[in-house]
Formats: sequence, structure tokens, C-alpha cells
Amino acid sequence: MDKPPGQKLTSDNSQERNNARFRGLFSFLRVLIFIILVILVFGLFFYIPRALASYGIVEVTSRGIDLFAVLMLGVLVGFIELISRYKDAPFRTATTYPGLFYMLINGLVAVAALMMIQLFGWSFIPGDSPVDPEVERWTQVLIAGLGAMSIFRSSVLVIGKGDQEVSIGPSAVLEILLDTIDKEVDRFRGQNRAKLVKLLMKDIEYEDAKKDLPDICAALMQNLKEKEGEELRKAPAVVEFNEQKSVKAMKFHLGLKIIDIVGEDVLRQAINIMKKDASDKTDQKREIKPIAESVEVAPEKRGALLEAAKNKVLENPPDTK
Amino acid sequence: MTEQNYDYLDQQINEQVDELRKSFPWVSDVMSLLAPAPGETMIESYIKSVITKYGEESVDKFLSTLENLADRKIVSIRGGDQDQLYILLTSKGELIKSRLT
Repeated sequence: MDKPPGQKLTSDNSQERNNARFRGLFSFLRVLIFIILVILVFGLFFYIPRALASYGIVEVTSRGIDLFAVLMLGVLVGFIELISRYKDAPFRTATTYPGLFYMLINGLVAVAALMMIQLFGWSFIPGDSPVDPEVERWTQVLIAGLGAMSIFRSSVLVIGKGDQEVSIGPSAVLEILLDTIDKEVDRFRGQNRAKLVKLLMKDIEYEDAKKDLPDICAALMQNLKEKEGEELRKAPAVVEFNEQKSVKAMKFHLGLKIIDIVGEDVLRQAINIMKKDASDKTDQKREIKPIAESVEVAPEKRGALLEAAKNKVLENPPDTK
Repeated sequence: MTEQNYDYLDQQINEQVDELRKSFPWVSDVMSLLAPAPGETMIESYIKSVITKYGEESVDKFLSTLENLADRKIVSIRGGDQDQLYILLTSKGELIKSRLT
């Protein structure tokens, strides 16, 4: 036997609350694990050299500190690059395996850059006047940490043949490596986004989503930039650009466009509001019995009916005097 | 539809119209009608009211406002038996009304 609508709604809400609790707990655990990993990395860098030094195996040198600092700067640059690129779930992307690997590669490239700078004795302070060695040392660290990617992405020579261009230089190897990781991060996020958007959008119709979802999402966001608001409003038009696309594909595409701008949680909340609105309508139809005998006029027929009503009245217009 | 049902329907419609009038001031003057006359649809009654108050040239503007409200799911335009056309405030319209009043 079917459950009464009210009971079903309560059950759905309870399940939704449980899911939200699990999601919250899972997110918290991810952040916790990330923090523990960061502490471990810091600990390993500080503790292991000191422990080894206490046994007289190695010495904690200023060069070691430089390398550690530059590694952290490189990781930070990689982290910022990731969060700026994957706006739908920036921190979640950064804590995926490909994301962590990407940051590590960035860090190692920064270390390599510093080693090169130190090896060739490059000085970045203009003029011939003597400089404090500490100033020179930290300038090198900062430049290597923040600018390593630009050094390693440079090409000595670009050979062009037809439409193809081949870079000769450090960028050739590094860019292939970073692109591969970048694509891996993208694929990883793509899988999650596909599952999530499919799940969220399954309970709403495309026509409803197209009309209400961008507005509701925009209203839920407090600091939405003008450009993002514009993108949100134009999302249905972009989705419908290809007229051959099926309604299912358009609904999925619209979900992806919106999640890129507002993120997962806002999209989920907006859809919940729309679902609640739809269930309220069902309740309303049930309560007003005589009107429930009527049926909603399809949008494509609405204009003709209103026009017919207008023509009927105009045949015998009321006295306006 | 029996006479009793028709009265009940009229009462329900009037309540909805009243709510609509409170919610949307820009159509409030138009919605001064209490009930559609028998054999006349609600929309025809509204159109007559628009013509009386503002003239024929305002009818198109009124109808486009109504269609716009229906597109935005604030009101629902419904067709019943005896060629009646009703306007209902939807739950979304109710929500907007509750924010406005």
C-alpha cells in the first residue's frame, strides 16, 4: 500500500537530514585527515633531521631550512592554483590523491628551482653593492617558491610545423607531467560531479529547473559577483544552444553549469526548496476539491485561450462611460 | 457541476483573487471583481474590468502580466468544465504573498 504523502515527505526529510549529517561528518574527517597530514609533513621535516642530528648522522643546516621553506611555498602555489581552477569544490579537489600529487610536484619543482639558483649563484638583487647574505638567501627562496613554475614552464625554443608547436626546454617535460595530473584531477572531479548532479537533478523537471533554479541559487548566494550572476542567468540559454540536445542532457548540463558557479551545497539546498514547493502544490490540489477537477492549461495553449477570452469580451465590450 | 459546487467554487476563487490582489499591487485595481458572472470565465470578467477602468488598450498588458505570472508559476491558469478558466495562486505565489504582507 502506498504511504500517505505527508508520511512519505517526513521519511524523505529524515533521510535527507541523515544524509546531510553523514556528509558533514565525512567533510569534517577529510579536513581532519588533511590537517594531520600537514602536521605530519611539518613534523617529519623538523623532527627527523633533528633526530638524525642528535645521533650525529646529519646536521640541521640553513640550506635544509631553505629547501623546506621553498617546498612549502611551492605546495602553497599548487594549492592556490587548484582552488582557483576547480571552483565547485576547491578544498575537496585539493585533498584528492591527484590534487595532493599536483601540489607535491609543484613543491618539488620549487625545490629544484632553488637548487638551480644556488648552483649557478644567481642573485636577484640589482646593483653591485654588498648585500646582507640573509636578504639574498630569502630572496632566492621566495623567487624559487613563487616563480618556479614560470622558470620551468619557459621554453628555450618553440619549433612550429603547420598547426603544431613543439617547445624545447624545461617546459616540455614539466607541462606534460602537470597536464597529466591536471587531467587526472579533472577526471576525478568529473566522476563525482556526474554522480552528484545526476542524483540532485533527478527529482525536478527541466522546465522548472530552467525557470527557477538559477534565480534561487543566485538568491541563496550572498557574495555572488556580477559576472557570476550573469553566467548563472545565462546558463539555460547556454545549455539550450544546441537544439538537438535531449531534455535529459540539458537538465544534466544545467546542473553542471550551476554547480560550477555556486557549488554543491547551494545547488542541493535550492533543489530542496523547489521540491518542497512542488509537494506543497500537491497538497493544495488535494485540499481544494472543486478546483481539483480543473487541469492546468499547458503553456503553449495558454496564449490562445487568453486571446480567445479577449476576443469574446471585445465582441461585446462593457460600457466604459 | 451542481449549483452548490458552483457556489463553493466561486467562494474558493474569490478567496484566491483576494489573496492575489493583496500580493500583487500592480494588478490590484483590476482584481476588484468579486465573482465571475454565471456563464462567464474569470478571465473574461477581469478583461471587462480592465476595459472599464483603463480602456481596451490595457488589455494586452494585463494578459501579458497574467501569462508572465503563470510562467513564473506564481499563478496557475486552469481550465475546467463548462469552458471555465480559473486563476489560482500557487504555493510559490503564497510564499511571495507571505513575504509581501
